[in-house]
Amino acid sequence: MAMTQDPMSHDQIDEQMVDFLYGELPAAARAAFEAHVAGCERCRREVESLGQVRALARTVMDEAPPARAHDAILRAAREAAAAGPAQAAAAAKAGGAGPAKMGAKAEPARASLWDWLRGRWAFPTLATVGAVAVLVLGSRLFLNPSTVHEIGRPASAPEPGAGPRASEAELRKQAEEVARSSSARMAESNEPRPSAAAAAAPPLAEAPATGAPGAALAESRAEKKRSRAVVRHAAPAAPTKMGGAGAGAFGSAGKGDPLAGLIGSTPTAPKKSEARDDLVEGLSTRDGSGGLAKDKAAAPAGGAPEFQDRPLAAAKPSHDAAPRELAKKRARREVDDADDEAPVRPRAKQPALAERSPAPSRAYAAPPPPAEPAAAPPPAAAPSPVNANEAFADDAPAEAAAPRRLDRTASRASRGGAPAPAPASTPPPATAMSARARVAAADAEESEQNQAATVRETLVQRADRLFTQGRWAEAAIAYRDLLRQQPSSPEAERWRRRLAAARAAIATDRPPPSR
Amino acid sequence: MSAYQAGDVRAFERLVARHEKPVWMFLRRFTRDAVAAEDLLQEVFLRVVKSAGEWKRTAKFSTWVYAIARNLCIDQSRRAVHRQAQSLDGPLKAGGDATETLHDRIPAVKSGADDRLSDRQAAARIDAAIAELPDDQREVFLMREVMEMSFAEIAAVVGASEPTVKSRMRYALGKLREALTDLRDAPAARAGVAESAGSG
Repeated sequence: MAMTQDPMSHDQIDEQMVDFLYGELPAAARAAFEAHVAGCERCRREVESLGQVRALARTVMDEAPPARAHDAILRAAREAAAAGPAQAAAAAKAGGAGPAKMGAKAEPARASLWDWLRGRWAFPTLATVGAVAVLVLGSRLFLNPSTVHEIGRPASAPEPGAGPRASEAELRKQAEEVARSSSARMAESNEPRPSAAAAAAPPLAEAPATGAPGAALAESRAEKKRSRAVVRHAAPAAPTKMGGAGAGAFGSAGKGDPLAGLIGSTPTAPKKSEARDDLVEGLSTRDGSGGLAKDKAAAPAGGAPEFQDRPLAAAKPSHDAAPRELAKKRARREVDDADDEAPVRPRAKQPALAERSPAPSRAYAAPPPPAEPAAAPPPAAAPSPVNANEAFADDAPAEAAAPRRLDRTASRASRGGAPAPAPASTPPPATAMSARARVAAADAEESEQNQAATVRETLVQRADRLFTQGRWAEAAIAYRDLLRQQPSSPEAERWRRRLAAARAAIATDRPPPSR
Repeated sequence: MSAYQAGDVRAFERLVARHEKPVWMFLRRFTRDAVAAEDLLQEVFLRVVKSAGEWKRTAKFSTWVYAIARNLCIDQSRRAVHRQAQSLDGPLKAGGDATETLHDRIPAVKSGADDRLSDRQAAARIDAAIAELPDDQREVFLMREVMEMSFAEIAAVVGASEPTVKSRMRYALGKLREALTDLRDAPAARAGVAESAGSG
């Protein structure tokens, strides 16, 4: 064979080998390929070997498909053709889930409950929902604090402040105690004559009696705001329990006063008007007499048994003002009913409201009014002067509040003979008129007494407050002034002791041990 | 296919009769699993029934059907990827010599009258040799040998160029030759040389 005549190389033969083996080589190329292979031993063996491989492979390529598959295919085709093109697609979809279903009759898709439950997502979803439900129920049943505390505890076992009711009762009890001691201290600081209870009380007036005019104006305002916040959250049940002492405590509730927190924790919030009345009552007692007056008013009423064990003697002032206060309250309630018809005053007129605030709150309105005091003082025609502390009962300045107070008193005195709308529970008009007269007289008497004692009391209160607050230098000055002004006061000895303690504290820069 | 689209079920029977065997062989060799191949065979023609309305007259039916078969095989391979295909050259996992391979267990074909080739043994070796081909080479080989598709049609189905398909075919034949060297002297192989060289 003449290799020189073969134009194809071995690489070209390799490239055309597959086409030659499978007959896809064009005729001309096939002729050239065959010519080369005929003259090239290597390429000839290559073609023969690959041909043998093809022949071997074909020996295993003659295998018929399973008959059942053939039948299933034909059956599906017939059913699809009989059902129409649309259902053919549905049948095909139904058979798509598994080729074995191909021969089965195509049935309309039905979703039974069991099929739905058998869904891949059904059980996990239901299990998740169930687990969440169990968690929620379990948390509400077993993680409820009151339930947890009640579980496993005998019914007679005490509840150490676990439940809110127990806490409330406890807090009320504590509030009563604090209010009682506060009343005692207030009485001590206000009462010139040391009574037995006052003598038994601690010598230091720890209750920060506020409301002093002059230098204590800013502090009084701040405390008023705090007291107002407390009163707005106070429940009517709390003053009912605590009585006048609680109301007095509102007025004396200062920084760090535990009573404020106790009152604020009562669960039921009072009505706004009631809260305001309580607030005004508390504010009006900044002179130290309002809260005591309430105590005095509640004591003889006897309508509140919870007050029977209170140290009323300590809170009772020298003059028996309780019947007079009750009469004033009754009469003022009548007058206030008439005042309600007047347009609502702005906030700045709260000092005027403070004047009528000694009217009992709902807690005091509950017991029936006692008999009219026979020894009621005759009505005083002249309006009583303004208690200086009442001017500070709100943010309004004293000079602005005083004229309003005078006008109010004057108008009340002038309305003494005017017919006032009497509520159903009020006495007849004649009695109401006499009550108004008694109120005016009581106001006058009280104002006279207060006016004389205001300067001294406010100084005493301020000194006590400064001493309680640890402002030793100021307290020392205040006590020194008191001793200069009233060296023969029954409290002079106490003032001297405090003056010495304050000076010692200033010198040692440490609080006195007796504080 | 046009007749079947018109509602002639017998036309579909003729289509099945014509293409069922090549499709079966392709599926059988490609999946290397007779059961899976049977399921896929039904699925292929089920798809044909389902998509009969979408078939265009311009398309070649065989190419369309084989493309369906190939796609189903690929899907099945992906689903069964967790199945570990046993390699002929890999060591046997359980029992026997640690160095023994499946290839060693396939009896070698010896020439001679006394030691004639068993058709069954030869078929097993050929099947094993085809199964050992890479997927891209195996599918080209099967499409060409079983389905008798042209290289242009194979290139269209597999999405490769025609030279690439021919190259894969060339590599497939070379690997089979190496695997079946001792079988090439068998009568069947010798008889098939002239046929394969002539028919293509």
